[in-house]
Amino acid sequence: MKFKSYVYPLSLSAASAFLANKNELNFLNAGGTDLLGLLKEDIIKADNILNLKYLKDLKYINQEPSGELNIGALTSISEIINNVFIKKNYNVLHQAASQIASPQLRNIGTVGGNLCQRPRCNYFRGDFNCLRKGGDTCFAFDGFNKYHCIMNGGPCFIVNPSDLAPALISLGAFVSVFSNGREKEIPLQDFYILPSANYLKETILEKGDIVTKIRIPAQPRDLKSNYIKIKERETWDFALVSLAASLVLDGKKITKGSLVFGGVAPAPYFSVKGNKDLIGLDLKNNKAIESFAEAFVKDANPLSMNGYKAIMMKNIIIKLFSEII
Amino acid sequence: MTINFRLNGNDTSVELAVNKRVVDLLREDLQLTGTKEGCSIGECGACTIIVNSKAVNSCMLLAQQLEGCDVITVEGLSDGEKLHKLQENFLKYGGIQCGFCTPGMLMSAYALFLENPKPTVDDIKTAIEGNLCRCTGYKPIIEAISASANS
Repeated sequence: MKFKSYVYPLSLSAASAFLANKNELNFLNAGGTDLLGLLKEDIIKADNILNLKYLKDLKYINQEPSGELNIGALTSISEIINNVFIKKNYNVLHQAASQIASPQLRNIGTVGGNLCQRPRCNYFRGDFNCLRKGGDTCFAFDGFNKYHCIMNGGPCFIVNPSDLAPALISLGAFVSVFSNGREKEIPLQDFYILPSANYLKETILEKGDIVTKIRIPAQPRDLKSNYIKIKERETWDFALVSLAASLVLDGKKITKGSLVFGGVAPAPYFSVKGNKDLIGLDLKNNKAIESFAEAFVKDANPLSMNGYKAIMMKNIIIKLFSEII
Repeated sequence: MTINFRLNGNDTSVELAVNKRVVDLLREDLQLTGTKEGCSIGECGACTIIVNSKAVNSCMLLAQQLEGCDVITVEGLSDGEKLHKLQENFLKYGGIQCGFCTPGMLMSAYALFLENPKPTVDDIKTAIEGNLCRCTGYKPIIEAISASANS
């Protein structure tokens, strides 16, 4: 783990200019829980590291009179969990944050960092010159691919490891990015890109870009939301499959809603058609739920060792629906 | 590069290499070897210390990140020769076998008490979620923390 300097920029513009330097590889250290692993394993090489801790205006949770919620990128995962307003009104976000890693890492890790973390693929993290590291082979395709994607894969088969991203996308959240001297806001679902578009990076971020804020639009008063995460061990694990749901019910019928999966695709996975089919679904009608869930996993294209994820996807939908009413 | 922070109640200023981790700063430069390094990837919790009242993995932080912070290590728990009640109860309830996880367990429990002086057993289990123990089976550790909460 070698780098030349560790600097504390005093403004976003200064930080962005430093990151954008074409002749150097400079990285942001927010919490650093992912960065340190990448540096130690030589997955990335850094010339300089930047710490944004003196930019206090990136660490906040603000509830606006309009009902919107704004969250600064340097807010820690623990601060999300402990926020009373989020706990009461955005169960999906509270649950997702509560199931990230361990208390120690939740105290260090930030919202921005969670959304930008690099994939956990064993070949990407290991000593393999894989496609995503500039090589010419995705070793997972013919290799150990139990934890890889079953949707939207190829030519690289990573899954997005974030728990917050599916939860936030189900709430229709937007992400703000400081880029070329100004802030732009995009739907969080458009922040992620698939390997078929570019297999060298996971987000739209360009050199010099900094994630600054998450905005969750005002939600219906009667929103029912939840996050279910299936993992191999009870604590400190990434999702095999996870499901974020934000729903509005009229009695037992869904009138509005969004389902977003983690652990199944290179980006948080949702289906436009699936979310459309949600409307009118009667949660007392087991047969209708079964065929809805069946249709949701129809597009699955598993590798040799991860067919179980399609079954999990189907079952997690049924589980979530049975628990939310 | 010099960093300034509070360590177990004392203002501390250290000259160090730019890429040093907190666990190395504590163990190598400051000779505070109570903090243990287990997995080095933030999974085992043996290196847990408290920074600004929160439990963190000292193997997952660069020493530079401590600038201006308030740090407590396991050495800061006892009052001279007098052990902290958590330490006494770990001894009393057999919460220690090989001892490697103990400093991290103590710091996670201490951080819990800072936030919640009357934790339930479930609160305790959540607080030590990020601390692995391969000897005790956790039961005596949870008992020791519970007993400390009730004393």
